[in-house]
Amino acid sequence: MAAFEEIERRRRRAKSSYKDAKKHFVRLDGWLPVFRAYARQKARAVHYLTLCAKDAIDVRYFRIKGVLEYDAKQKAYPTVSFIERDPQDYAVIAESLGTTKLGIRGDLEAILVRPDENPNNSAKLRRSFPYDIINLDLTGEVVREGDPPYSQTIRAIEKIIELQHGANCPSWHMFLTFRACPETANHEADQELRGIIEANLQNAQAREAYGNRLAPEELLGAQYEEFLRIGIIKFLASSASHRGYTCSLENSYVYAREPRDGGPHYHIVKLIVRFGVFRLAGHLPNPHNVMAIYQESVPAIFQSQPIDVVARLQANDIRERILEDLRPVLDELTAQRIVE
Amino acid sequence: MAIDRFPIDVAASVIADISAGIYRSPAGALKELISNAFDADASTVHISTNGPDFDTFTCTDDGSGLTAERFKEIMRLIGGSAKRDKGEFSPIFKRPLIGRIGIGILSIGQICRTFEIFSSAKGNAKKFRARIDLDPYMRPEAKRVQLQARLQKDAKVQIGHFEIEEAEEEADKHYTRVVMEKIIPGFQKQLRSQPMVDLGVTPKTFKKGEMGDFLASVSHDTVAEHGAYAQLIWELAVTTPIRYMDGGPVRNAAKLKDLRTRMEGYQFKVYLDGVELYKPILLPHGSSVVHKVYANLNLDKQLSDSRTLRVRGYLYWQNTRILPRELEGILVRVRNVGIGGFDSTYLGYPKHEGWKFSQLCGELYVDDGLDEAINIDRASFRETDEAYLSLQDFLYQRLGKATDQGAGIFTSIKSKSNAIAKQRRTREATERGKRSSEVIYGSPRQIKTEAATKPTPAGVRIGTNTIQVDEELIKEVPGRYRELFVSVCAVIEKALSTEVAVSRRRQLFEKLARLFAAQ
Repeated sequence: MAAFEEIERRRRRAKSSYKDAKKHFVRLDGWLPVFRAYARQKARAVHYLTLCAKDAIDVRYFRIKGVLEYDAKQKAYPTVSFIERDPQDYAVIAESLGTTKLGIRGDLEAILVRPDENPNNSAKLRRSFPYDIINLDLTGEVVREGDPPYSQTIRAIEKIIELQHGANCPSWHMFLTFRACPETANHEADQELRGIIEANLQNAQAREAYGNRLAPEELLGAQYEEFLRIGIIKFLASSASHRGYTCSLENSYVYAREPRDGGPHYHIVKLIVRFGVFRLAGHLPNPHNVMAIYQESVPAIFQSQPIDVVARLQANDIRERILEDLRPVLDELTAQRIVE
Repeated sequence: MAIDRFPIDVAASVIADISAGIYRSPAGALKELISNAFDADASTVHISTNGPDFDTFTCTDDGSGLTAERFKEIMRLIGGSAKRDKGEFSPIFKRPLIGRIGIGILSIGQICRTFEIFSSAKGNAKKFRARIDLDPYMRPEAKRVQLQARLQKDAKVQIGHFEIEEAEEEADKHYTRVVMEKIIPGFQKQLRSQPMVDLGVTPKTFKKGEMGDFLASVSHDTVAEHGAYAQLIWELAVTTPIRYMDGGPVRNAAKLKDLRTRMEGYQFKVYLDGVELYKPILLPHGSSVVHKVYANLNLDKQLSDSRTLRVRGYLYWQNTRILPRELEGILVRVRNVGIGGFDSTYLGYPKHEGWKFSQLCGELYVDDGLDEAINIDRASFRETDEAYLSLQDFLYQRLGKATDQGAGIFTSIKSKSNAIAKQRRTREATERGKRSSEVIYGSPRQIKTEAATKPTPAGVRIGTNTIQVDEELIKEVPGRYRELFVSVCAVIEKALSTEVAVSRRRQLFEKLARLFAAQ
């Protein structure tokens, strides 16, 4: 299939999922309370970096909920930054949102990991830090098939933590969304994650917190989304501790997806993670401290349980209420009549 | 003696330069994209500049779109396609077509060197993506390629290349989207330059109150002093075939209703960074301004080469300077699109009319006959073209000469201005008299100003006093000084009536000094 056809197929697939109840459940149940807390604290001036995709539903939704600064007269979101790789989607976002704090047409990972290739975008992005909330909806795997285990995505996430720390951000949240699909997974990376989890389980406190889950090797085969959920949070905690932050998981969500085009079945995993500074920028890292911070976070990660979105939506009229909550955003999209 | 003969060659890069640099400003290039959308029956065009960085521009319209085949046809030989027939209209909104799709696409080269176009034609279940690259042909090495060598081969000069791919699309989707990156540094720098951002209009200040406030904010002197972004807004709003601001171009001018209706009928909207643009012409700016509309600048003239020149226009005059200054002059619109800006020379009007030039503003809508006179920059005319010369003659006549439709506009303006000046002088004289009496007699409450400076047969009555001044003597004084003269006499009379000469003399001098200060 030609490259453009493949891009278009992916865009169509993504479009169909932006407006579904499962996705919106997480916005309402998980993301909105975090926004509310920052909005109260900062009089709605919540600095927000998002990979919002062309409909920018998250931006519109939080504006409608009154938790995001918006100047209706100026048609401006002065605290919102967005990054979009696809030129068509970039155009839709830029034309429909109006002025934002920052708009970048480019690949976030490439901009962060290979700044020399795009110095202008890299400089713009770096200048825009810090943010209160960073929403990384990756729409794909954290480590893709064929990538090295220390993938570009992982390095980009680490870079973000570094930039937040370098900009003296004391406390912030990351919303991280990724796919868990055993068929398209990177097995080398999975094995490395498994090794790390098994090493953690040498610790009695961590083993106790791990509870009666399947052993990591079996978990990888039988409940891949849970294996990846634990593995990725642990990676974030480790990475954060080396960069001066504690990392705590506030919430996580999992739901299954059945691709209409016959592709492999997969799960979407969504993490809501809070970072709090323990070493100020410019200060020397203390390796003992770093290790202690990380080890303290492991039991909490092992104790955490994801919210099963599908199960929650099966309760009486929840699905209707979720979709009703989303309706103003969909009405706005219809009224705005931006092409596509 | 043998005569040596040499060919004159031109580098291919010259053609490339011409192709990419034909527009005077980037707004001129964006105007071409908007014109394409207008022709394609689009109802909206959205332009995003990504200000304040200005590093990515996008332009999307919901017009009928292009198929990949049509796009290839246009791009394979830009400018080689036949011009549209005169009188051709768009199928849905019946808009008179502006034309020049290929040149319109090439105009993007004014903004950036590489860009992408996405388009889907109505009824076609396909869309295409085309990547256009003009960069290699703008580089210094291109200057070494001799045009003659290229011409011998295929009579075309390559100024760029494009790659095109197709994908599926819903059959009812129709649009054209252009994404421009790597904006030409000079343009970007202009838009970003700190002093302009500090002093001028940025995307954020522009949005405060939208077009009305924008117009108010630039109406103190020039748009240019507000920076490059303000100029971009101005040029797009002035030249594109969009609606007038509510009440425009002239408030309460029923005679111009047809122009308003015409633009509204096209149902065409252009948004820049989320804000809808309107023609920024809303005169007069204040309710106290004396003004007049000359609404019947209409012409229907058969030219010798079978073209017919059809013009509908107006001129607006006011007794103060038109602001912003970019509005002074006449704007020629060919098929509703402004060619250049307002021309303050009135197409090179041969006489110097001084201040009158700065008090006039007008538009000439030329629906037929002038297309061929437009230069490639779409901002000026070939001034030897018969249609242009006829338009010039027509305008000069209306401005300068008395015709069967009445006196020339400049003559009319002059007599109106004289009448206004006379009224003003009378008003000022009355004011002066009032001020003089206040100086001479103190409290204005004791003064009957009506009678204060009026000469009477018996003398001059000032306040409650009457002074004797010989009327013949008054007649000897030039008219404009008579009132002052009488006032000075009154001061002297008042001083002479006092008993203590020394102190009163000083008072006399003081009053005289204040009297002159009050003039």
